Amino acid sequence: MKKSNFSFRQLVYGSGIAFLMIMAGCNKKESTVTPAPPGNEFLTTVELKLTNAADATDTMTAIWRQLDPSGNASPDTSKAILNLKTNATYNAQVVILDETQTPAVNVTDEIHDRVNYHLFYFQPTPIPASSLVISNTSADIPTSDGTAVSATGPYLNLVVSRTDLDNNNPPLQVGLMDNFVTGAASNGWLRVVLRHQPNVKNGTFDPGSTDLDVNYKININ
Amino acid sequence: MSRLKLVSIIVFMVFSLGTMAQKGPSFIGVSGGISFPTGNWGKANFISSTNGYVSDPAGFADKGGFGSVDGAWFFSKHFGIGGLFSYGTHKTKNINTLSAGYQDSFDVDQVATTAGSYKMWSLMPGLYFDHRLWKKLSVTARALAGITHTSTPEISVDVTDSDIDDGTFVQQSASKTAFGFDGGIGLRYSILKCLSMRLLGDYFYSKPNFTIGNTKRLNEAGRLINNYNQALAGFNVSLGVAYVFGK
Repeated sequence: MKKSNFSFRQLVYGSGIAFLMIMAGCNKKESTVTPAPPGNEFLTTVELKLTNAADATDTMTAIWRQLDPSGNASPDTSKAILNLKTNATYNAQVVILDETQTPAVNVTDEIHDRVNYHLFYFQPTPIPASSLVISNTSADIPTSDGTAVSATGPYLNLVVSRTDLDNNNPPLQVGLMDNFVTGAASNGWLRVVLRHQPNVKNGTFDPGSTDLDVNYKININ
Repeated sequence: MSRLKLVSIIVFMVFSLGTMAQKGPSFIGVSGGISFPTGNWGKANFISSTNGYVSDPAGFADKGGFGSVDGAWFFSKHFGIGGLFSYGTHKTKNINTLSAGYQDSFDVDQVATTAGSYKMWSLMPGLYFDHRLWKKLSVTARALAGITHTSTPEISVDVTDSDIDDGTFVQQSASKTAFGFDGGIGLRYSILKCLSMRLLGDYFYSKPNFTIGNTKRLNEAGRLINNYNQALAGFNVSLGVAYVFGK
């Protein structure tokens, strides 16, 4: 065997360099951006189904409809009206449909599956500033997000409270099921907003984005 | 099992006693190669959960690179005692699958996911074996046991919907030291009087029980790993050189 020129020192130096190269090459992070797949449902139709808590035969449905997914056409609000009795309590249910598909798709089921990051808001107007309650359990919408308070009235005597809870820990309200409590005869509007709050839902209005924002005419007689 | 142990001990003693007069090739060597994760650790599952957390055993470990230093003192012709230090990394694989799971879970327009790597070092003493097959070519083997220290990758997920950035939540990196073992077999070829090349295949195993922290997980949806107790095992294939003493 011929005499070797290789030394132990050369082995150590070579190994050290190779080791540092491995360390440097393996510390990069992996990154990706994932867009949503095409084909999400449109929220074309929002129904409020009310049942008088004192009279199960006293039911009504108000329908807000916008069949143009681009939103350019005016919505059909001819049935977006609730005629409520004075001093009554109604159990309410929100139903959302996609009527661009045949048969229409009930999007409520999907929202029900995703209650942990969806939250409905219900804002009666006109309302005095003293009645506007902003908290993580209130269904009122802050003035900074569009609620106009009135100093003079006449006010709409309607209070809406959510009755269903999600699966977060602790649970937060959702708003697919609600109570409508009326007072004295009055007229006004009810604004219904669905907030989509992915991993930011905390009971307040501001986090997230708006999935729908619709209005109903309210008559209390 | 006990019969297997007895046979192993007898074989070891026969080889050792019969060759005590001669000494095998004590060496110190370096090597590097590719590591292939196995089991759940190397899997990548699409996890979508809209109404609660899901703890998934898939570790998303990609094949990785490693480097090692080892050496052994041979007290007989065939058997020696020695040790191994190795360091390696495994990137997070199929990050698109991970990201798509969060996108579907939160029903959002876009999810941007960034993930680091598993980092792993081991320090293991144990038994070495060497047997010359033909002229310069020998078969080698080793059975080692010791400690393995592993850190898991940090995974950041940024959620955007309707052009609104809903913030970033993070699965934090966790570290743990655990018992591990390594068993390997390979070939050694003498290219110079004191220098050999080595080609080795090893199986490695450890099972650290990680407690993993997560930040900014407000709503119960999507993959959430608070605890990871899966075997970190796989196969290493390495090529290296060894300085053989006393030649």
